[in-house]
Amino acid sequence: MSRVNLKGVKKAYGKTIALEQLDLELEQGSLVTLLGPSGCGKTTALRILAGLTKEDSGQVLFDSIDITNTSPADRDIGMVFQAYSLFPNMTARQNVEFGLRTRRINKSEIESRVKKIFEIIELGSHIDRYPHQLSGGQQQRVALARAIVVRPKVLLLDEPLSALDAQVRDQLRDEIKRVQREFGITTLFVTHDQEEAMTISDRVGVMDKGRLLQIDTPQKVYAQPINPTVARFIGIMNEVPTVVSGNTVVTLGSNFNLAKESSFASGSKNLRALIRPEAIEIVEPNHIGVPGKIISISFLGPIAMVQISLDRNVEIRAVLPAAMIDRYQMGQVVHVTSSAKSLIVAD
Amino acid sequence: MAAIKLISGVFRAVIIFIGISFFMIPVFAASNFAFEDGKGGYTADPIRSAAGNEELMQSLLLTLQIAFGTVLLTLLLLIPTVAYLHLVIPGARAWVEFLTLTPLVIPPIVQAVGFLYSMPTWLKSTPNSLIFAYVILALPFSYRALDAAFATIDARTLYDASRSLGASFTAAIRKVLIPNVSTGIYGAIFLTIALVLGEFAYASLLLWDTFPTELAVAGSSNASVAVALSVLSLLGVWLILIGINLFNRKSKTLIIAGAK
Repeated sequence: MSRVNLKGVKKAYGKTIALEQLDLELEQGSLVTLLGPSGCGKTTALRILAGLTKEDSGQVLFDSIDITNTSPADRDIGMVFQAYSLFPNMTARQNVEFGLRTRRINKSEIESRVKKIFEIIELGSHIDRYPHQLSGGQQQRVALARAIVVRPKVLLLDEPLSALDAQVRDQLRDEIKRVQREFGITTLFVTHDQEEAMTISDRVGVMDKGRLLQIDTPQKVYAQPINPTVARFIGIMNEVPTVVSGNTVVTLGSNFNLAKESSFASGSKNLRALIRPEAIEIVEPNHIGVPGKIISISFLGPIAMVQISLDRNVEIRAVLPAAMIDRYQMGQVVHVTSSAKSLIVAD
Repeated sequence: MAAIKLISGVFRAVIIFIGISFFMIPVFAASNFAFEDGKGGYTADPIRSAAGNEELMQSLLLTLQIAFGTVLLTLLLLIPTVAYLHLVIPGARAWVEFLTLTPLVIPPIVQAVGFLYSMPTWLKSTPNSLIFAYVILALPFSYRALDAAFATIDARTLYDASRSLGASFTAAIRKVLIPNVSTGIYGAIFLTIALVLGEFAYASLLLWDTFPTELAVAGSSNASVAVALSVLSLLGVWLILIGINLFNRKSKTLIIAGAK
């Protein structure tokens, strides 16, 4: 395992900028996820780290050693791909042995490592099967085993779960986390699935248009997004019309102090406050807040999602404990307000 | 529903029958012409006569030698080229595909004269010069066979995976890509051999005595010998095709047998 740095990495494909001055640090043994929509540059960053794509400028460092011009074969990485990448002409065992053989590891060591890794991924009974005889989930588990059996400095995971069905995806996600912890491998995970990113990562980096917008713990990225783009990309976000009056932002009947660094002037129009569903409070009529009508209630196990229609065709969602949904019904007029301690205002 | 099934079954059988007839009737007629002894029976005399014809046998050996050289050069040239196209410049595939079609549209006389003038004298003076001509002539078929094989595998991902596991460029091509495009390689080999065994225009224009040109000469004095050998060479090509299919099937059987 290594500490990994990308420093000032830029990459463009013709006129399209894939990465704009990317600086990223992966602490030793940590699992960092790059999260973002398609085309945001996350896979390009991962491929540059692997040496499979050449950057236009910038540096790639493993433990402060510059490996920018080192070939992928010599970077000592393990990689799992989005597409099934097992070699079809080799059995699961031969696939896993491939990286060990290229590293000229002795036969007894190869046997011992292969045996152990198949025990860890619980596919010992499938060791002599060919890829076409394995399910998609099993193929990705073998691909994971193949990547980590070489004890790489860095493990790179390029949307390895996206081709799998929901149940297998959840199982393999847990397995990746378990194996990553067990081996303590510095890992970069790339995905567009925010749930995946939030559950598996030590830190999440949100990317958009070739830029890393924010990188922090999943909790902080969710609770304290640094800008509207991050806020909108992570989790469900309500967008409520709001006004700035003097140094105060008024939204859903609650007042918030305008941050000193804010560029919004008093009287600014067409502004929206971004509020999470769990920060929306449903209160009795005549209470503080604004009126709205319940248009749907969705039961989601321990919680319920209530959709409320406000004036001017604005719809917001609120989360309640499931035990409270008996108090509300469709068409009921309620008042809503915000219990958020702070909120983001976007134009 | 049953009626539709019956009609589609009959239709399929009729189409297959027409297809088989299209190929088999001329072969049957040619065999009959070549091996009939004139008394209502059959004879192997044309084969014996051909085997005794030293020039014909030498031309067959020469053609097989040229076929071997053509196959070797085609594979050496095309496997790395097609791999490079798929891995590095996939956008250029359409252009290369178009280029490989040119042997089909340029008349053989133009190509042959072009070869004659462009080749160095030391090469022109040997029948091995035909190898270079045949490599180009076989391009429309050999390129397509290999290109289709590379297109059926995710060459880029397999290559990247092998590189990330520490394989060098040549090891990635040799150990990962080539074994997974073997069907295309066999196809290219078969088509190239079939082309060389039947190519007449180039050899005749460049004045080399290959099997097809000798066959034409033999045909002018003894038609039944020429036709008998044509039928046999056709069967030989079919045998190669069947051999390739059996080899492929054996490989697949081995794969399944490897599973527990």
